[in-house]
Amino acid sequence: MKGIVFTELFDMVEGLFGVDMIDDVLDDCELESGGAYTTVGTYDHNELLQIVGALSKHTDLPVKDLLHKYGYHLFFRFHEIMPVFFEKPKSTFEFLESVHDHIHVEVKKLYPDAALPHFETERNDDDILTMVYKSCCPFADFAEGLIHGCVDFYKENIEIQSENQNMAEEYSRIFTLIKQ
Amino acid sequence: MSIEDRITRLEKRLAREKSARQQAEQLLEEKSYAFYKLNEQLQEDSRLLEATVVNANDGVIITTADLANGGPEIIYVNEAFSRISGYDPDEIIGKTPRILQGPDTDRNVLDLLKSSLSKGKPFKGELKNYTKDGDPYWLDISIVPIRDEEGTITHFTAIERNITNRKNFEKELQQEKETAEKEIAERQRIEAQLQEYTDKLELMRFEALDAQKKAEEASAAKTEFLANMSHELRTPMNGIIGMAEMLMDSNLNSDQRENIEILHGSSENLLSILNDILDISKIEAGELEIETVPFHLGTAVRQTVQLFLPLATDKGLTLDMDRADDVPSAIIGDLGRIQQVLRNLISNALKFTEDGNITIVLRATMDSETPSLYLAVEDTGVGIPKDKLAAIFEKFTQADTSITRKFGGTGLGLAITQQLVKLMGGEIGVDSLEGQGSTFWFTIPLTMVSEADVLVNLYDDKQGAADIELSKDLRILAVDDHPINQTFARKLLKKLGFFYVDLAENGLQALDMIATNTYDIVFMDCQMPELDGYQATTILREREEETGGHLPVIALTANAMIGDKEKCLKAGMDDYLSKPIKPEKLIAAMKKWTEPSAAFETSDAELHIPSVSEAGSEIMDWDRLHMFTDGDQEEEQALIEMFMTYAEESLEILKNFRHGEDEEWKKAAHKLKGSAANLGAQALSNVCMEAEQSVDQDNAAKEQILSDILASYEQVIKLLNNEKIEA
Repeated sequence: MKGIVFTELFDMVEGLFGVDMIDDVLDDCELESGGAYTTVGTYDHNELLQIVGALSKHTDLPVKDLLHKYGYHLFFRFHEIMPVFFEKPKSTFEFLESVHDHIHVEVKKLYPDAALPHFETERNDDDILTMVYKSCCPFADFAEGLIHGCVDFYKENIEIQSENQNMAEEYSRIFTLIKQ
Repeated sequence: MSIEDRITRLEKRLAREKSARQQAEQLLEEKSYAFYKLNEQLQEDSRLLEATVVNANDGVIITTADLANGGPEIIYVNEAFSRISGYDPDEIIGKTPRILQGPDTDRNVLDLLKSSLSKGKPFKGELKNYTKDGDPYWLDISIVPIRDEEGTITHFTAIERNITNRKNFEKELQQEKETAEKEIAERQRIEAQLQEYTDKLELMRFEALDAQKKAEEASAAKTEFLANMSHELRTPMNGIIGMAEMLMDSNLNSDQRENIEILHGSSENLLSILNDILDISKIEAGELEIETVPFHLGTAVRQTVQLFLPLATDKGLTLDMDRADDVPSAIIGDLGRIQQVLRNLISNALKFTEDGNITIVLRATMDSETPSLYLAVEDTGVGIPKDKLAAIFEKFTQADTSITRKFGGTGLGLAITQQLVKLMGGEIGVDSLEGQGSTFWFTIPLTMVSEADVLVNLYDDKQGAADIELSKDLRILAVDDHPINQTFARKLLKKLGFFYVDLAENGLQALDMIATNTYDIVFMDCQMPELDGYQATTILREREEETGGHLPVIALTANAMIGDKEKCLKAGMDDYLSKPIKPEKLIAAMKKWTEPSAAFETSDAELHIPSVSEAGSEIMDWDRLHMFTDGDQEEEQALIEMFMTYAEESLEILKNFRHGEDEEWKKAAHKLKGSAANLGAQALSNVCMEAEQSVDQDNAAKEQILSDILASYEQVIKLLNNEKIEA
């Protein structure tokens, strides 16, 4: 998992709960990296799970909510950090469709060792987009947050239905976006 | 939170940040290095690609994708393009590729190109472009659209190959193909024509085969005609010769005798020509049969040589025999043909020799695997020019056409001779020096045989047979349908002292007469009307089986073709004589087939051993005389008489030297020289040679020589007379 996911999370936690919260969380974790992250580094995704787990304990918020909230927050941050990916897509559907074919391709160029999730899209008709999330990491909630962030970013009225796939719901999920 | 705690927390935070910074620095360094390497790799790739493009043999042009407006704009060309087109990069970059096109650029291809590119599809085709100087060249062009990441076509890359040579080559090929097609068409036409000719040839071949068959039939007919013709000609010839011979034996004055002799000589000559013609036609028809019978070689050669003694003597030539001691006396072969070959060669030698001698040489090669007999006739005559030697054995060829005028002859003699020798399995050849003489030689395979087996020419040998006294009371029946032959037969027999001669015209008549009369011998012609000789003899033999007895029947054959002898013997005839009938042959046959007389037993070889006088050996070489006569008294006597007749004639001329011409003296001396030499009178011959050489000397000298000649002659005569008395 790319270091930016950790650094952005710490930035959000610091903004919401103050800098000491990060120290508290890290004191609770046993991290191989020692909690020192850089945006360009790559780290074990289990460290993120530990951090979010510890955060949930300190804040009394469910992990699921925290991940969703973080995803939603990160989408807007993406727009600030990497505006280039937002040049072309003019809508939620366009953006989501560009993730797999364009954004991930570019990410792979920059970080050949990046382990990226699968985002397959299918436009059933002009108003309905199906997106399938498949990953080696259990971050379906995080993804859902991102999608929500996207819809709100483009300020569109789109209903997001999610459907868990199989038993490992956090690893794989089907999202159906329906324009209202 | 205490200050200490806070400090601890801040220190931790600081440590985290420091660690993060170190990580970041390390990552940055790694990334930088990776980028550096990547950049290097890219530069290398780029360099290779650029080198490839720049140095490619094919022209490479990169244009913008602007199909509308002024057309695409050239942004890159490689060296090969400049080479092909003649444009330097700075002359063409920024321009449209359309300036490369010209009047002969195919518009259809251009349209296809535009439509492909506008649809974003690659184009491939052949196009004619023009160089900066306006020369056309052919391109195999391949244009590929280049797209950006969004798939938008931004450029076109054209790769061009100059195929002008190929195009020219294709054009040449096309022309060659057309030429080849024309040639094929032409060849097919010729083949058709050839087929036509072949068909015609086949037809002609059939016609030729037909013609050949006809020609063969005609040839066979010709051979048959010749055989019949010669038979028809020989019958009257035999009549003429026979009658002439009888006339010669009657009382005649010298004019008449001369006329008859000319008549006889001409007839003999004509008959020999006829025989030549018959021989050559038989040889050519493959109908001449070579016999293999045991005979006495010495007798055969001697008899042949003897025939020419009168002629040689008359010409003043010496006839000699040179027989090696190891030549066997009895051999197997064709007696008649060997004698014929010898006759031809000796006759030729005599014809072409004016002076000197003719020697008959006999040699035998016994030690080789294939023993052979060598016979040669050496003369001291005119010889044969070198350039004529090769053709001398060809038919109708003589060394010189003037020879025909001078010496006569058909030109068949040597051709026949050669063929006969070949048929006998031998070889013939000639060695000659012009002006010095010729040696005609031949060989035949030699098969020896015991003398006791010799049957053929025993009775010809007058030893013994000569002593048989034939009864003049023999009753003879001569059967011949031809009136001339009948007359001849009767006259000849009567002349020989036989008066009991009956004549029959055909077989039927003959059988009737045999049935009613008694005969001792029958001479039977073969070809007769009503009943021929063969059939008549067969019937006779059948009758004899019932009645017993055996009447000798001698066939008289005229055509002597292959199988005639067998035919005669098969029909039951006892012997055969081929025409012309010579008295001696007739007598010999009668002696052989009538009741044998006791005289056979009384024949005594000792009687004939010549007595050699040592004292007279210089005057008279008896050996030489005996060589020709083999000690035969009768023959010896005949030779001596002939010699004396010639000698007297010559002497008369020589004695007349004071009044006669020198030329006559020379001729007479020459003639006597030959006669004397042939007889063995060597001293006389020598003195005659002196006379011949001293023709230019004065009469006193001639007188002296003449007296020498006469003295020598006297001595010879004396010796000869003594011999006569002894005999």
